[in-house]
Amino acid sequence: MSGRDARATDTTAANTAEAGGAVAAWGAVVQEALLGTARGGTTSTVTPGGSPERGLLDRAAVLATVVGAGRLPPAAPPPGGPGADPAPAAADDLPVCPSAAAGLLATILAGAHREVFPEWLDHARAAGCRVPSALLPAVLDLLRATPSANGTPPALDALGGRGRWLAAQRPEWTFARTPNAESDRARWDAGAPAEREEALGRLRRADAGGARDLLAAAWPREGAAARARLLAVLADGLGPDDEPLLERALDDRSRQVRDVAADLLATLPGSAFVARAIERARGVLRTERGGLLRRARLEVTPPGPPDTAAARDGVQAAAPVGIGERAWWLAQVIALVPPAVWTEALGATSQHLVELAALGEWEGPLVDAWARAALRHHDAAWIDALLRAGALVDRHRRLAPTRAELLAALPAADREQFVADALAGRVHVDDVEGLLAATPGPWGEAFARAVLAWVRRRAGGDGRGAGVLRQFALAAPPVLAEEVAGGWPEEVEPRTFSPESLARQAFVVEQRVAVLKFRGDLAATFAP
Amino acid sequence: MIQSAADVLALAPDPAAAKAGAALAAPRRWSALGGDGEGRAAWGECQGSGAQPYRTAVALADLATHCSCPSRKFPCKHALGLLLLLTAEPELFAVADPPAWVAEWLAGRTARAERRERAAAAPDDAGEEDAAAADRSRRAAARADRRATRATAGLAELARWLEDLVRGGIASAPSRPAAFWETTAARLVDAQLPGAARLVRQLGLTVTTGAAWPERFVAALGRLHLLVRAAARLEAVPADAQHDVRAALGWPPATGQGERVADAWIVVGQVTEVEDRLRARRTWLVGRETGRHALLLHFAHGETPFAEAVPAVGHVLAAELEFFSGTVPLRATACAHATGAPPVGAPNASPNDTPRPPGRARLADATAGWAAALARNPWTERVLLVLDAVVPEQHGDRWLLRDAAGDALPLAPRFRAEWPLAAVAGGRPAWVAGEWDGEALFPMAAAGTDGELVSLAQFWEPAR
Repeated sequence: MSGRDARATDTTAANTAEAGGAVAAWGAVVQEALLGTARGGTTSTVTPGGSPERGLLDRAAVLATVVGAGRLPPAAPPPGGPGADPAPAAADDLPVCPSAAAGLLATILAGAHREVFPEWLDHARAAGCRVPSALLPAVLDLLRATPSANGTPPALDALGGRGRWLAAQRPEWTFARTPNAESDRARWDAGAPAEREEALGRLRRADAGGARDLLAAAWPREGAAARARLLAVLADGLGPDDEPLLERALDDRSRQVRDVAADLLATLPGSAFVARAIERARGVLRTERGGLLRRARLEVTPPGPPDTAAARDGVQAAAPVGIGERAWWLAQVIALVPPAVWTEALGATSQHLVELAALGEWEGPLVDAWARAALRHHDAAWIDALLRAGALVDRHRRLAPTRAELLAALPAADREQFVADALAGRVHVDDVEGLLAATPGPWGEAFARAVLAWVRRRAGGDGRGAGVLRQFALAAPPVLAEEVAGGWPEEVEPRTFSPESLARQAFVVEQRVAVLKFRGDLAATFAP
Repeated sequence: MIQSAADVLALAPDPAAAKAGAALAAPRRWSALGGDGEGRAAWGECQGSGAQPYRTAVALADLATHCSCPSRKFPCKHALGLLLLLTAEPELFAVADPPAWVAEWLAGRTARAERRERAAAAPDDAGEEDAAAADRSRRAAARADRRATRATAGLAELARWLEDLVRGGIASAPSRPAAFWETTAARLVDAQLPGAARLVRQLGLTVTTGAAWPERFVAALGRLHLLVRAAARLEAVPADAQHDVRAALGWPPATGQGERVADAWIVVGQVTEVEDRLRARRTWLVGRETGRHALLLHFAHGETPFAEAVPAVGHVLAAELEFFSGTVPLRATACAHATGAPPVGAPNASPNDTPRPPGRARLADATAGWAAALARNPWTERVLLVLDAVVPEQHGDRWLLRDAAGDALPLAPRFRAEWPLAAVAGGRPAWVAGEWDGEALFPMAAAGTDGELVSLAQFWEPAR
């Protein structure tokens, strides 16, 4: 009554036939049920005292069990879905991170302290361990959603071999997969423009010379816009061997391409381009002692209109609105010269030269040009002098970089020193919060304390310090957590704070302390 | 056992609750935090969106939680936040006398636990307990009679309903409104046949399953009809099969007579489902020495917590299990320890210390277990499959597990953790434990070649 034994799994011929019979009979039962016994004639033998309905239901009960039990696992379809990498993951060389660290990562992935995610990955990379396998999909999704952490070396290291293998399985995660020269070559040969640019970038990182040769070979066939974009890829790992291709590009028909080439050549100190620029600028600046008191002066002889060679090198004759012709030519010519040349040629420090420039009528274009040149060549001494001189204004101008860009080019210690001076008022700066935003962590302890003191002076819930405190929580050393918790003034003369703003302040402080403590826990779990 | 924030988050019923709980783990959201000095309980009040703060308490021995918020999840986000806070900053919980609402809750729990113990120990008591026991058994017999009468009538009605369905033809079944199935199911519940009611509801759901619905429908019809026929002549059915019939009807199983097996039971998976305000938690175990499969089934109504705690996946329950009678003994309960304490897992055992139960490398062998179970108990709904050396693969939007012989088992569509599973396996043959219902596999835990056993429950939401 409760079903025959399921012998359909036996492979003898007789039972296979029996199984086939059962499947056919089952099909017949289903058809009969669909039609209904009232309509079709039933093929079953009706048991005495039973009805056609009961007979059908009896057969359904038995056959359903037989067929259900007898079903074998089907053969698998051929492996490999669209875009899947059928090869299995290689054995990972990285150990899995400590379980406490995995717990903190799970907390981050669940949504708490998400801003600490890049730091978790940094710690993992430094400790030489990787994300546990089961958490990799969530980590890859989060990497995709936070572009700033994307693609920077720490993130990919912490994925480990397993993570990179997993990333190759899904189109959404391909940004994280192991660079594969063959597939990149294939994409370079036959992909969409955006894909080709990306592929060239990856090939360039793996083999700078090879990528350049590929570009040179494809150069004649590319359209103007493509030439400009692809040439810009050479910025990664730029070196003297790139010079010939870039010089050719200076003669290109397209203005865009010429601009990119000039920009890149200007950053190659040993190139013929820079030598030409230095030659062009010879005599433009001179120091002299003049006047009754024999004070030092900076004598400026602006260059004339750009000749053919200068125009080829990117010096434009037509000035934009708001700047005079001669100032424009002066600025362009100076901007192409590495600032160290002036230090040597004029025998004066960068601070002195900037001071001297401030005394003359050409201060604006000179400072802008020196700033652009200093940024190009990462000249820390010049950047520091220009930042401190106060002559730089954060207006958008054709040549001058912003203060934030200059700050970013300084080494961390110099940068923090400058910003600390700005916080303390030793250097006049309009937008301190902007400077702080341009100072990425991790901060040194002394600098962090300086920022903390600055924020406390501005406390009071009017919101000014709140954004900085948020950055502080992510960049300061976690050991400062206890210091941050206390010491918040209840009032700053002549204002007394309302209970609401005090409560708000306490709320904000508590949240930031929580972030610092979390980061402290994180550092502790990774410590050997 | 709570040792870290990750353990707390593992209790969360779904990722949204975990996230909300983590957001509430800040001291500023809580007031009146306190704990009893021996670490048995902790409590606090959390300001929510309402006027009154919510009162939350946790009992730490078995992680039962209590909260006045209206959430239906268990544990709610307030309980999770309180536990996270307790883990991170225990010093915030001042030792104090529990407030009235906490003391009441704790007292109620202790009383219920004592009553359960007394009921379990009842046969050993003698004397004046006999009269009360006799009275109880009389009343139980009377209840059984009433139930039998109602059940017989209900079964007869069900038999007629089934015959009506096949007489008219089932082709019109998909166009029936939901109330059509629900009315019959409700009447069966009234007739003390909750298992049959469930089967009728499942029958109604098969019409929504796509092109193959007629086969599923007729199979479900067959199972119902079989149940009706078996129940009608229960005395003539073999003794162990009678237990199967009773279980399929939804009648409470006979306890105290089942086979007892003591072993170190490894927890290989856990699934919680909600059906009409009843939460059912299935915990699957494999005995380390005996290799037997066991299923612990716990229920809770609405928002109340599960009364029994079970160790997490990968941990070991060292206990004696009593299996319920039947032709395919799977369901069991854990017998209390000699000390009277409820059995829980060893708190310090890490999942990597426990050996994995060996799995079947050939899918055909594994599903033969299903065939054997179905052959004995046709109303078997699912069995545990422990598989070794299977590779998860994606084909289009369906996933399957492939074995070395080239066979495949499809994964259940409601399984949402396919990428974590693929990551753990790394394209290599992996160990997977899951529920098999004859058509699809629902993986609950997996381990890759590097050995770490991972519970997949943290990645999916409970099925509704």
